[in-house]
Amino acid sequence: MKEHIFVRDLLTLAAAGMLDAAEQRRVEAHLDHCEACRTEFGEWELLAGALKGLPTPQAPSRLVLQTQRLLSHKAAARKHQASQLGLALLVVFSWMVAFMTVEFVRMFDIPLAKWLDVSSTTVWATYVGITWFSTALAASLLGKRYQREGRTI
Amino acid sequence: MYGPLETIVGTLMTFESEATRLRSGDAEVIARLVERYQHRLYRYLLRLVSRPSTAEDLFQQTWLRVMERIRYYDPKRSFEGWLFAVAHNLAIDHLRRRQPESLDEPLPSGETPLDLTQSNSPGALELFLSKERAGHVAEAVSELPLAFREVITLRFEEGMKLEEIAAVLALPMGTVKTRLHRALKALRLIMGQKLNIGKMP
Repeated sequence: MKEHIFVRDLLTLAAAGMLDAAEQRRVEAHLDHCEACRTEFGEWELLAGALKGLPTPQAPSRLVLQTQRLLSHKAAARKHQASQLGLALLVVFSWMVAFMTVEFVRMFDIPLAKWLDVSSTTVWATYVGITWFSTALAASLLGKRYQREGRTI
Repeated sequence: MYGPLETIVGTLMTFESEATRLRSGDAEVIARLVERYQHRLYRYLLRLVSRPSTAEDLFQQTWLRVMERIRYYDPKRSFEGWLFAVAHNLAIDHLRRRQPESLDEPLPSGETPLDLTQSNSPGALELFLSKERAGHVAEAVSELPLAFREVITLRFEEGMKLEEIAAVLALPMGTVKTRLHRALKALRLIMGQKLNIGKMP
């Protein structure tokens, strides 16, 4: 009787195929000689079959297209953002390099200033200005090209 | 012609490169996945929230979340399980905001799921299904509380194994089993009640 009550409680999960091997064997052994449980198990199997055969509601095709478009825009925006960040870092790096090389330029700024007839401050300020401007211009052109080609840095 | 070994290696390499591209947020790979899982994901969400418009919103939110969080996805784990877990979390958040629902929430009949599992209606099920009423099974499922609907759809419609369901719902396997057992009993009782009170045509 105890076994009957125990197995009866497992019939739902047996029909759902959710028992482990030992439990499954125990249920099968009991079903071999218990007519009532066999009938009940048949009913649970019937229900499980009906649930497996439920019609699948179809996702509207416009939903799929909209979602794909949304994701594609999002990906493009992310790529663009990543490119901009990458270019900004490149510009900062090049500016830092320009600053660091100022001392090197200073070694020549006095003769150069004399030759150009300007102050040495003007010479290195012009050097920094040209370097910064050219790197910013290069980064901006590169960014535009990458954006056109849909690439990231 | 390729031998079986080449096929296996080829499949593994394709999966590996797809997983890598997926993790990098490649929109093309994600678009393919949207197409691949469109009906299953929509069905799952529809079973949870019942309203098509809400299911559609959640469908889009799920894919946006997938794209945002894709770098946290572990390729060793099944993508399907991860996708459904994302959808589950979004649906639960949505339902909690709109209508807090718990396992013990009363059913339309006034009984709680726990009451239902105490009783049974032998023979009613066979009658319910035998009279060409299988189409109404979905209606009966929709009357179950959320926690029951969810295990039913994951097991029978999605065909997920116990461990997979537990991973999607973030529940211990024992709890999943208990929930499924109670869900089936509750479903059977609802069907019996529908038959008895002549709700079904």
